[in-house]
Amino acid sequence: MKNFLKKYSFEIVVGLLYVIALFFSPSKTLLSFEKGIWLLVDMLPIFVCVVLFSSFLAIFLSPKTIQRIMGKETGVKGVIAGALIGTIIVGPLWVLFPLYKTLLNKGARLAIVAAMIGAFAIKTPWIPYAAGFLGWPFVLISLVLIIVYAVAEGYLLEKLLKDR
Amino acid sequence: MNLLGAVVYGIIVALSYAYAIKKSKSNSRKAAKKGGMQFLKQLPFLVAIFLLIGLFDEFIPKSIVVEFVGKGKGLLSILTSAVFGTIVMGPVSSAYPLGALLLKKGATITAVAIFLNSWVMVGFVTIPYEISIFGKRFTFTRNALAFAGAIIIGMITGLLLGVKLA
Repeated sequence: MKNFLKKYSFEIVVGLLYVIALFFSPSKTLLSFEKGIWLLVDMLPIFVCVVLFSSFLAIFLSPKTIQRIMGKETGVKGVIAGALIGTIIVGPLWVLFPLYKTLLNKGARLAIVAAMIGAFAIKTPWIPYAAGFLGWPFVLISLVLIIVYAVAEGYLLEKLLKDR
Repeated sequence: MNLLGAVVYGIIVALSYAYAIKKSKSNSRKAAKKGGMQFLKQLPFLVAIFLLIGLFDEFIPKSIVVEFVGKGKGLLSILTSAVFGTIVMGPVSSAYPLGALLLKKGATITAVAIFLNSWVMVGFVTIPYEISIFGKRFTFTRNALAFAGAIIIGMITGLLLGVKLA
């Protein structure tokens, strides 16, 4: 029971908010519910694609493959490659920290790893989902800027940390 | 718009699975199963977040949003959205619809872009964990750079889209 409460705490809070909202205005609450469900239905096909594509990448793009690519590349190419690889890795960032640490230990350049972490802000499988809400111009501009910034951040971080 | 996106995306997924099946049947099954499990696991949260957005949409007046992140709030709106984006932690599935809702309620493009960027780039809650793996210097430098980057990128995004719309 306690576990259930903890696991679904967010869902329970939303449920409670709906109960409270009912007291204020039943008609508005009903409208909120309808709106929410329609948004969900509208997004569901893309969401299904997201999870399927993410799991495909997770299984068919092993850390070993990534390591191999990064071992070959050096210089600017390597950093850009790192940033691009960062965009296709999925999963919460903290789960990936150990992987990045392994890469560093195996001799990957700090700039490359930092660029990968920076570019992680782009979640490739989620791009069509984001565009559905914010429009393609917004999403594409953010995308390009984040990649450029990730590469710059990689170099900057390396420079700042190497000085001492 | 969404339908077209879903169709194109569906084709990409179908192609990647066709490739997967050719490479390894058992691994493709594993991938599909993993995707399905993820879907079921995230569904309750997704339902809740969309219901919450519906509630926001109906009950939160536009004036409140404009007050904090609307036009002409300048520096305040930039800082507010950056700090909020840094503190909140949650799946991106909830970030994008929330961003769209803020836009609809009168927030500026710049503010929404900064909010979303700092959401995905800076990991406030995970800082202790990041320190335990990479050390203090790396963690603080990286997050500081990411925080600054979120603001810079958001401002450029706002400028570019603002110019386009004008």
